Amino acid sequence: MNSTAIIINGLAVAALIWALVGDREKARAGLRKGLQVMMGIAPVTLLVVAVVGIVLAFIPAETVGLVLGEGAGFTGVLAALGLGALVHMPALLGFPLAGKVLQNGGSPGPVAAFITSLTMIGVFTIPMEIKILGRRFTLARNLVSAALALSIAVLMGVLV
Amino acid sequence: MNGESKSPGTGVEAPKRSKGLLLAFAALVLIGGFSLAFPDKRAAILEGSGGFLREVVFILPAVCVLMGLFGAFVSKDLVMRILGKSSGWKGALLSIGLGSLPTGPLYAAFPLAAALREKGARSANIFLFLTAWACIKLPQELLELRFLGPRFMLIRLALTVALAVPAAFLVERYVDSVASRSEPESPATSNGKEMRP
Repeated sequence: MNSTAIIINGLAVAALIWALVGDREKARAGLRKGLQVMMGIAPVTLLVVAVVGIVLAFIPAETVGLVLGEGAGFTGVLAALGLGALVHMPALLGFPLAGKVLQNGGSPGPVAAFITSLTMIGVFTIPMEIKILGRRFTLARNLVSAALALSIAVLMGVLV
Repeated sequence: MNGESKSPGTGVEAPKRSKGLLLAFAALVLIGGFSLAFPDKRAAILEGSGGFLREVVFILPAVCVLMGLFGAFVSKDLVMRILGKSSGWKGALLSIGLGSLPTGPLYAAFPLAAALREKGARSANIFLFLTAWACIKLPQELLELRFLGPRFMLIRLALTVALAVPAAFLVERYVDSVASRSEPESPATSNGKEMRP
């Protein structure tokens, strides 16, 4: 269990105790709803888990580093953007990788594209997002985020 | 409330049991199929999926508890006032602030975003909350500072904030325009007691 999980679970336990002390009935209703949501997203989450593992096996971190390092110009930015949207990698892994690429002379555009789309867009978590936030919002958010990541990366290439 | 009705307000329906089983089965088939077809990748697939499963199992239940409690205890008036249609730039700033504080993967923010929207937060602010959670959250900025340097981190941060705000209103315009034209498909728009046949 990493620190993120500890923090979130600690927060949930604290909130739960506070809620139970404050208003047992409301707390129970809230828990029931939380459970309902969890059961609602559990099956699609399993599917996402399978796909994420498969993608990670075929696009390992070394491949990402290679593509980022050699990427330059607009096509480099686009490739990095696509990779970031496809792979699922915790920030604790992604940022050191991006840093290494930059130190080895990689250009800032693709590196910025990669970390921005890595954190903002998850192609394979889209089914979960749709289930929770609805189709329209999900599609709009992901498309606009891709445009955002692209703009940020292009400007980073100019500015850094 | 029976099994097939919408859960109150969230729009996250519990899938019919058969559909849920089918999805779970599909996950197993995918992993099994790829492991058999690419024996040299089997270890990597199991490790990748296993790692992600562990992460999800430790994070999602807690997030769902938080979401449920938020829904039960926080008043709709409050959220509407500070994050709703008339919240203006203060609401936008607050959304970015709220999203920047936590840590954790983006998918953990989806249930919380749904809870905020159910309580009347405007779509632009939901987008800003999610974008901040993805890109601006403090623990991650510290990682970026450490591995990519202050110059890279500060310029990217400034660009993200500057561009995310107009992007948020673009998303809102699209989402709201479509939503007002057709049936209220978007899950968490109302109090969940909308008339559904």
